[in-house]
Amino acid sequence: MEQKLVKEQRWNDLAQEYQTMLYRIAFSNMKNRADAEDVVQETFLRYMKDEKPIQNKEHEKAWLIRTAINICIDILKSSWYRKTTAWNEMLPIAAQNIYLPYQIKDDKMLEAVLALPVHYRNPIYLFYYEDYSIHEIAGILNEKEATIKTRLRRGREEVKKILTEGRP
Amino acid sequence: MDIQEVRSKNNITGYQNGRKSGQTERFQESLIQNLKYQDQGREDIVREEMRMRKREEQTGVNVIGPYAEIRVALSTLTEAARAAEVRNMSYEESDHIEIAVADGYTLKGKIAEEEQVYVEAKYEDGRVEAYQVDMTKVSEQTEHKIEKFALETMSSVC
Repeated sequence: MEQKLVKEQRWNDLAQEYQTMLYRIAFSNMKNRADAEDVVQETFLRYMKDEKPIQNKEHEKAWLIRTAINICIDILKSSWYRKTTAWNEMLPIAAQNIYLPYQIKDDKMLEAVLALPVHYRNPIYLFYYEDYSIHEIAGILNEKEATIKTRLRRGREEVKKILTEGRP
Repeated sequence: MDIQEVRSKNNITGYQNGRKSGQTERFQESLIQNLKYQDQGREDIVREEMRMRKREEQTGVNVIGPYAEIRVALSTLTEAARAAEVRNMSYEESDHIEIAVADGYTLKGKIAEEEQVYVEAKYEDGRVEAYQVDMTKVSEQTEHKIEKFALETMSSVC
């Protein structure tokens, strides 16, 4: 009984600590609040079901982000989702609703980032908007650092294209 | 004694790749023109380099290829902006931030002590650099990117 309470307390602490950050990451992929919230819930559920011991705090955080991103990718890939969402119409609203914990000058830039293909969007969002290092992003996304650097560079070129030409 | 056939000068068939009349003059002309263009090209490069250096000194911004990135080399540090130790400050701790995805960098600013602003720059290639800006030495009209950002940090808090 006591063990169960300790576990519950731990999950509560975990949710308190990471839910907003996971929500933003999920939102950057899903671009709507309801889906982003579902993704966060699913991420915590998977964490609870997963009995594997987590090595340390950084590992735990990386696991949660990676799982959230994978859930997003799975949902986005599903055919029913693709049939029911018109992303581009939602982008200006999505950029305003991401609830970053700081003020940004340029919503258009965030809109352009949200319009990127997923393999550029996640490294760019994590690097610029969540302030992760290349080393950390490589760990989260399970990629080499060189791959992340390349995606950051190419993603930036895509962002420029979107800003100047209005399309990726 | 062998018999040698001697042809008159006019009958000798010319070597087909041999020099033709006027060829030397044309070659010299084109050589002079090429040298002239080469010199002009060099002058253009020098002029462009000087323009870039001047811009770099004014703004601390170095344009690499078609993309502008702030790369504040030691040579472009001003009296006000000095290199400092990187603290790896988070966005939450910062007083002011600038996210420039299209230019490949982020800036974080925090008012450190009185009239001092700590600025941390993170670049697309993974480098992180930090600067301590002495606001008493910063002009309001500064074009230096780091100094300008430090001014914005001050005004964002006030």
